[in-house]
Amino acid sequence: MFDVIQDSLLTLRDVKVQIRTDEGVVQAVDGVNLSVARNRTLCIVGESGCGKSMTARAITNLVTSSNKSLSGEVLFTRVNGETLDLAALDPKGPEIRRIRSGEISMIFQEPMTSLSPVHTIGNQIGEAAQLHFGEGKDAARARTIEVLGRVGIPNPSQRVDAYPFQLSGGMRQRAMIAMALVCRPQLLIADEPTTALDVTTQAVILDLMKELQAEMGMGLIFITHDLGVVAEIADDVAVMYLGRVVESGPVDEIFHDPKHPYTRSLLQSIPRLGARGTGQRLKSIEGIVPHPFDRPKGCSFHPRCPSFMPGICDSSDPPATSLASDRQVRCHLYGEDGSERTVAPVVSRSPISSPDTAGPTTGATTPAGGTLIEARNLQMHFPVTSGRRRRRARSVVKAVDGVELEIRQGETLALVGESGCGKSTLGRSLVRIYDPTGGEVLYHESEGAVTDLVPLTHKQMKPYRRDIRMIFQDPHSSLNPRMTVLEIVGECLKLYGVEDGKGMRRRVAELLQTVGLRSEYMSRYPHAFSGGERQRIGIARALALNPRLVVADEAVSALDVSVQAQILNLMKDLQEQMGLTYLFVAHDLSVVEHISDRVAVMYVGKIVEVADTDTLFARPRHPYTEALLSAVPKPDPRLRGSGERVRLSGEVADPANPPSGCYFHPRCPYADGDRCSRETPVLQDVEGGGRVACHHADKLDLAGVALDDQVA
Amino acid sequence: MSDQTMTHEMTGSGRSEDAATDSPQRRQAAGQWQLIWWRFRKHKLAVVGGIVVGMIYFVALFAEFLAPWLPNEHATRYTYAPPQSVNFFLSDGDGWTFRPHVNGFKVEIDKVALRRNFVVDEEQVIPIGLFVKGKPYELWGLIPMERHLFGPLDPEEPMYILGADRLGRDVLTRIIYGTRISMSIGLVGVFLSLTLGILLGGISGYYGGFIDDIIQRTIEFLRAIPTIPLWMGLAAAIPLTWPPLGVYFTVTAILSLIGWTGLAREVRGRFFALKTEEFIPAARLDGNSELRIIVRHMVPSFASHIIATMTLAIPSMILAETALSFLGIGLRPPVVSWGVLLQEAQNVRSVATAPWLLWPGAAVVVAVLALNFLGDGLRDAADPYTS
Amino acid sequence: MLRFIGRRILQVIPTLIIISIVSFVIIQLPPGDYLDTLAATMAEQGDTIDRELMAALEKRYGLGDPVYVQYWKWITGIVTRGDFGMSFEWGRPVSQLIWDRFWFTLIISISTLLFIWAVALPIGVYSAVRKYSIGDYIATLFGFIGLAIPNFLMALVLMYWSFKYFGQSVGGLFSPEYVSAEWSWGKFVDLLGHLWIPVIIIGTAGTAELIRVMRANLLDELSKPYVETARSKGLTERRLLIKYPVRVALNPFVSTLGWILPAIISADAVTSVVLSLPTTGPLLLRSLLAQDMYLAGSFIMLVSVLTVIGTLISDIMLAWLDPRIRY
Repeated sequence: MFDVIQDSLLTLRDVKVQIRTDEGVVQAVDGVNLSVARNRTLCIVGESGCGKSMTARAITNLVTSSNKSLSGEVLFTRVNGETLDLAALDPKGPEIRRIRSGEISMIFQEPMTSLSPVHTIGNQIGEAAQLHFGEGKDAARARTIEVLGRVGIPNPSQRVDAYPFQLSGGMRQRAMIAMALVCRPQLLIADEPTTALDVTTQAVILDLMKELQAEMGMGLIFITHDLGVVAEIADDVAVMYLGRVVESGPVDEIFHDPKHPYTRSLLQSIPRLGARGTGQRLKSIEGIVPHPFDRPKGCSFHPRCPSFMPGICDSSDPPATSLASDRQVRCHLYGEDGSERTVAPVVSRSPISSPDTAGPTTGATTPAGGTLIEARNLQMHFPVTSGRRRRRARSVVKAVDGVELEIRQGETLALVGESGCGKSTLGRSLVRIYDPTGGEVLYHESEGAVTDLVPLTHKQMKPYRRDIRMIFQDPHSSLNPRMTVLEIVGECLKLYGVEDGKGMRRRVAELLQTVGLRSEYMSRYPHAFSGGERQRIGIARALALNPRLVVADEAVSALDVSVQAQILNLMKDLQEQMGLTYLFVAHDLSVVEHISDRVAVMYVGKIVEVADTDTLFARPRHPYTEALLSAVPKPDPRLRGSGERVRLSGEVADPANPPSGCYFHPRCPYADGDRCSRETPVLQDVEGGGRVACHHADKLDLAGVALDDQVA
Repeated sequence: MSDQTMTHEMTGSGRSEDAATDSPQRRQAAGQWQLIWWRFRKHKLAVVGGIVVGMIYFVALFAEFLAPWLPNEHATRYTYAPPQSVNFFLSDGDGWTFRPHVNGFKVEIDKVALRRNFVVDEEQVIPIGLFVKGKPYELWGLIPMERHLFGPLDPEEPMYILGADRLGRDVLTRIIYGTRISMSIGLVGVFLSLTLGILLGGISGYYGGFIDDIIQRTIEFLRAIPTIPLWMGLAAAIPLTWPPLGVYFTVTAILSLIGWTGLAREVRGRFFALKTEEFIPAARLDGNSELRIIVRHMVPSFASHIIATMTLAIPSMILAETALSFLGIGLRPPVVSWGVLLQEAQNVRSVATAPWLLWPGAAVVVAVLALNFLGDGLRDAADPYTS
Repeated sequence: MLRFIGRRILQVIPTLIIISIVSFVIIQLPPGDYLDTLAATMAEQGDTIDRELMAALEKRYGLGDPVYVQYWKWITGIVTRGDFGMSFEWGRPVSQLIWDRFWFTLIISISTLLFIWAVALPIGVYSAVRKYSIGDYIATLFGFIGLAIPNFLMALVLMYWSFKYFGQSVGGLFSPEYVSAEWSWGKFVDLLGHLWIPVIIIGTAGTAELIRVMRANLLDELSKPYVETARSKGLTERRLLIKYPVRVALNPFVSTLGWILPAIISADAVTSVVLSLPTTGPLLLRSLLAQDMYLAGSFIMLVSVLTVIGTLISDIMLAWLDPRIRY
């Protein structure tokens, strides 16, 4: 791992970005040292607000503006061997523009907004080529078509005239990559390029980037918050916290021998695919990333640090310590010579947010009871009204199209699929936010009576709403900003006549304590809380009426990993305490594997596979499930390239105009040309438990996730 | 999830509220209106606008008392008398004494042009004072009074601080009385528009679909018609024989007939924006009835926006009334509004003789400016949860 | 694109029909029908009206018929023969009176529109790019004041000044020697020399408004990620500004044509009265005051049609500029 000749392409020395605001100066990037070599990939990783993106923008000095300034050195070795300090160049001058146009390119997170909506992609890509090579329109166009083909856009000579809104998310990101690569840069900086994409598309894009890097021999700086992606693509890793690199080194060492407590905690807080069965709680990091204004004194991580040493960590800034030539850490635990101090953490506070010992480590599955709620041939069709005026024929989007699903008392059923597959719609149809257009939702009351909820009016629904509650995805828009926490959580108590006045206050206080918030906070408004705290309020609201079923719609996907772990632990604890049943709608399979007992996989409005979590992850029966599992990046660099690689081609089918036969057949590697394209498969029981909708379920032997040495 | 959110927060005004008064602790427990007020307060121009608007409505409310004369009190002797300046000190040979006064006029007949020229007569001192007894009036048509805020001590003597018009009526008095009509026509008109706008915009935004389409087409149609010619057409159809109050309300109704479209769009837009907010379905799940969702969750969310839009709609009402009355097809004398007053200045000859007839125009400009500043500040502060 | 234009033109037709109905209602609003008024006016002037003519007119406009028949005769007369009815005050067909004035309205409106765009676009761009600079503050202040001054007041003040300092009136569109002269180069130049005054007066409010629109739009666009993308491609600041954010911000700018044109025509009506310009405004006012309703209704209809066509053009331009609408 240390054999690399440090043919450094780019070196950052003490780079700082200051932002002046009305309140004072913020150090968004606070003395970053980094270096990346040709043909190597450096991943910068960290939670939101730690200055990753700003660092990326500092390299070609896109930051300097009326209220931001850059200092430090950005040393870049040009093709001709000359080394330039980019930070010293005029941020609008010709030299830096020459570098930007040809030698260092960038890819941004959101391909839709990062491309101009009113210019064709060919125009935007060709422009870079024209600028750099000084060639004419036709030559630039030919080059554009060539590079579009190279990044895997089908039909490039036609697509070159497409506008961004005419392309799918994955295609747009390919166009962005084409734009960055058209001039064959020395260094490519990618800022969360796959965050906005589905996991299947992400896998394809990551493969493509690796391939292109190998082909062009460029350096790559890849910014992400996803440790799985890091393990998948990085050669070297830099972990950032509050504007500083706290640890850096080769990827294998970072994952298998992390030195900084922050790196350790981050790695422990992510659920690992395949690490199931241990029944472990996730180890979360206490608290949240503070705003750079409130940067703690001394080591900025010390308030959240499990190895906090009073008198040292809170008083002085830890220096950067070199453990090896390519390994640095910034922590007081390490002496100047790199030796680890033996001081045991003196603080009595527990390193992990809630005590590890509390909450019996439950078995992998809670004993599932009888049926609680089931969907039978459930349909939710929306009329198409997109566009400015209604389009020609009245077509419908079959967001939920004949779903059969059963949720059992006391279990956690996860509902997964790519975006647009209808999983959220299904969840919302069950709680009757949407009024299903067909089928039945049979609810089994605790006394045994069974009611179909679909034909009920909103008034008739009211008694059932006490039992079926929901946690929303967006902790910001799901809490009315104009109401206090007391009003938000207490409203349902009042409206159902459970509690009012003093009793309501008492109950709300109780609920807040249950979800880990201080009860004094109830007179505050939502804007006073962080994302994770708001999600706790949302959970308190869902629990106020002692529900039986809670639909959690992507409840943790808007949160940072450390906070996500806190919320997942809380949800597990509450399930045990209150005997809750969860329908957990999610797209992150690692999270799903961690929390759920059973999993239902959805594709274009239909359930394609349902099975026990262990069974489904170990031995998927549907090709789509296999592809989803295969696409999830494994947070361990040693597993890179192991296992079967299934990559899906094409796009998720349009639910307004689905393909014939099996909806999945155009993307399916196992589809036969005949039956799959004519006959729609139905959900059938297969041996080993579970149900699958695939014509070839019996014959296929599909790869799951290996349950091997990851628990280490 | 990305750093972009962070940089946005830091560059925006997310954390830049006054640290002095609204400390983090206070902010956390602060409700919507408190936050709006804190944010509004930082727009100095808007605050000034608010104060001026307040003063103008104060004038409108107490017009009878604040005006030195009665609006239709005429004196042909003083036709087109020029403005007098108010002096506070009087020189009596060996020093200055505090004695507020204006100077009287000398009239010279211009034999060639056959008209009278007023010359301020330094000799003639007309002492003025506060709370003087003047012509009796009834405040709000109810309370008989005869004290005016200020005026000449002897009510028989002339005082024309902003000059006199064709009939020797005091321009200042008439502007003060005009405030009442002009400012109230803005308010009443906006309330009429608001009723229509909230009703139709609300229906449009809440139900969407087909109804929304029809209402939107209607709005598009109304907005495509040039307003002044249409108003002119409608206003001209008001019979001359109608009583002033009838004309007043008809004109207001005509103005709001067009004015509601802007408010309806705003309300509809708010409804649509709220549809993407998750707290509305959450409220439904909490057992709120549809009515309660509207009243308890939706209305508070856009009340501040509606107030801002209303404030910004008043100026256009005022301008429209002024234009119509100026053309002679809006309000008519004896009603006194700024537009009616400006009608006096319709031809360049009378303006050349008595440029002070343009003073009502200044009142219009000040009122409209102040309302625009106020409305702009309110609009910026209306959503305290975004930065 | 052609499909879009076709569809958009079809959508205009109902609007035009409604406009004609509204105009007709305005014509019908005053009590008594047209012939009563005509007869009364004639009698006032000591003329008696020819019975035959009366009968002919009655038949032509269907005055004895139900209202919808009258409307039908009126509108078909306009569409097929260009017959807008008679102006009793002038005793001449409306069509003879309106066209001259209509062209002047058109000239002034278009010139004002061009003036507004030419002034507001660069100032708006400057104001957004140099946010919070002195120039921005001046532009903003100008914007507020421009919106607050009623245009007739501005016309009055301007007239007063020119009367006071130059001893002459600024009214009219021509110098006295050209008023009734044939069209010639000299007359055209003379027109240009007079045109700028009403154009500025009418255009001030619109300019103020559009500067604010442009500034706000461009500020929105400047913070969009695609600007950063363009910068990271190595474009010069000026080039990227013009090619991307200004280009995108131009869309809402063009769509303002839809509401700025009605505003211009409104302002033109009032301003023309003060400056006594030979446009539709003064004649419309006069016809309204005299309840010469066929004339008034025709004017209202024509200017409304003009704005509808303007909106149509702006929509087509917008589609041409913005692919998201076209597809």
